[in-house]
Amino acid sequence: MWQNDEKGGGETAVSHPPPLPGHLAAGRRPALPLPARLFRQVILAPILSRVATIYGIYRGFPQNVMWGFLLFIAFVMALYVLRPSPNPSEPPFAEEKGESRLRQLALVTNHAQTGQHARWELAREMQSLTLSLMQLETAETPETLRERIQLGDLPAPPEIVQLLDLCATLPSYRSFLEAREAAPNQRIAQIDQFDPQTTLDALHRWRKSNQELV
Amino acid sequence: MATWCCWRCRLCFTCCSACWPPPKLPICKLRAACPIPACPLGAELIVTLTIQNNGPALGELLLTDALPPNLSLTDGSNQRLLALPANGSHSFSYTVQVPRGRYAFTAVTAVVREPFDLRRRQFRYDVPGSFFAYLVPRASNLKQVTIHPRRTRVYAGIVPARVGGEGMDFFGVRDYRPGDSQRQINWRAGARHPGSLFSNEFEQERVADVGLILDARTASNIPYGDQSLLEYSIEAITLMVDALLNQGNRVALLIYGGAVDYTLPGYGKLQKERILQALSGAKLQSSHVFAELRSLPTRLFPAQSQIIFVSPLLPGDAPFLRRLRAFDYEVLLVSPNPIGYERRFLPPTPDMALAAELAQLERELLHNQLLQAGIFVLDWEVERPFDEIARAHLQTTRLTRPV
Repeated sequence: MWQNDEKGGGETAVSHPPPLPGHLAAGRRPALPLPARLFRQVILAPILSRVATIYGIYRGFPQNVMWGFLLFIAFVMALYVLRPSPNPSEPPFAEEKGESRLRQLALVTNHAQTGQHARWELAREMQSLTLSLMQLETAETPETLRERIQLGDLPAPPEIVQLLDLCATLPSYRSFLEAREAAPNQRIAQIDQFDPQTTLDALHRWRKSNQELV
Repeated sequence: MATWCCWRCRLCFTCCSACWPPPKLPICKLRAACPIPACPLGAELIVTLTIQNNGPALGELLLTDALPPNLSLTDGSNQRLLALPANGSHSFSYTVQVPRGRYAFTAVTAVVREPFDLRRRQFRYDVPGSFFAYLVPRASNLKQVTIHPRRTRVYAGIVPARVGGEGMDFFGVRDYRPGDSQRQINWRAGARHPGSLFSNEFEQERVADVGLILDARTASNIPYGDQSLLEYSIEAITLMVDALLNQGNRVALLIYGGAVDYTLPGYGKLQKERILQALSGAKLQSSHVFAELRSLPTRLFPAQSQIIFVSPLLPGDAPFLRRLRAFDYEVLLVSPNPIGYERRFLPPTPDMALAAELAQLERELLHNQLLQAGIFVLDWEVERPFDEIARAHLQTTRLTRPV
């Protein structure tokens, strides 16, 4: 556009940007800024072309083949997840430290103060020990010993007789349970009458008298 | 107490950068590693670590010498944080208390840090070295352990051989043979049988094969912290080995626990050293295979020889000891009493007293059963010194002579 200079009469060039509607009307596209062009040419175009290629390949395969392939992938993944693997956090095998005999007996005697089952267990331990000691000193079988004590042939303190009676009445855990179920909320009188310390003292007395006789 | 020194190791660092590039692996050279091979039990060991830097300066270097378990620091520290100039060296020492056992130093860890702790790298240098703390048997009055195996060796000793010949104790009377001295003739027997002469025979005395078995099973030795009955058993064996070898016997040792640790039979001072070394390395072991005495390899011991079994004993051990007797071994059981020992660690309550009485009765029963099988049992209350008990019981022939 040229404008006349009023004073000098010369021509001066003045540029004005054309209006946008005018461009659109003329069918011309505006020039995109550089970042947008870069994004379209460097990132978007390759991605879309690859997507189109993959879509073409996908459409080229039959559907049953595609489903079979996907199921195979899922199967492989399931196998991978379910594979047995050693657990590194698992501690190595170590034998548990067993309790000594003294600690076992101390536990039972402690529980025997209140619990009937522990007292009955203690009675069984003491009966086994008593019979073994008697067997060692008299050289007779446990059955013969029991018979002789019951018949009064072998003199034994009454506490030991009571202990043997208790263990003969309740010889097994089943019989102990039956006795407890017979009177659910009551204590078993025979077990309550058993006193471990008195019985042990009686056993010491019996051994001493027996050794004096020998 | 004697102090023992050992040059733990001498490290050489080369090309270790303390600048912005990440620290490179320092090249470690073990210039000298001369740990002492042995030191007496309970000694204090001074460990000296010397490091030399052959590369550029190191701003911050943390060295840690891995201590074997059971060694306790008494002075200094096994860690040192230092800055090493280029081509500089540094030494530091620490002191450890050494209980009985074998020990192995394995590795020194070095952590190199850069200024402001921007980067750090850890390196591990294998610096192997091992030593053992050996037992020093204390002076003892136990001069003799009286044994009576059925079979002896051919050499002269002091063990009655159950064979007539030259000796001290009267053995029997036999027909006179030409060459018998007049002093051997039994004139009384000859007077009862006119026309015949008889000679006295004396029991030959020889050396014997003795197999010592140390029970190192965890279950039977009742460990409490770092204490256990194994130490008492080892003390008993140490004293008995001295007496048995001084008598001229051939002695072997078997440590029974997690594995079979066998010291071949031998005589004299060298054998004593071997046995002491084996005992120095003895430790508590757990194994399902050796939980019972079923796996005891009896064939390691000559037939009809003497076996001395040192064990606190488990209730299930009696059948296996009886089996040893059935194989015609003479068995002597030295048993540190676990009940008195364990009561020291447990509260003195009436329940405990009752339980201890019961356990003691069970133990007496077990011992009586073994005595019936012909096994002599020496029950040792560990509060009393072993040689005092042993002098009273092991030096008398009446108790250990087989039935």
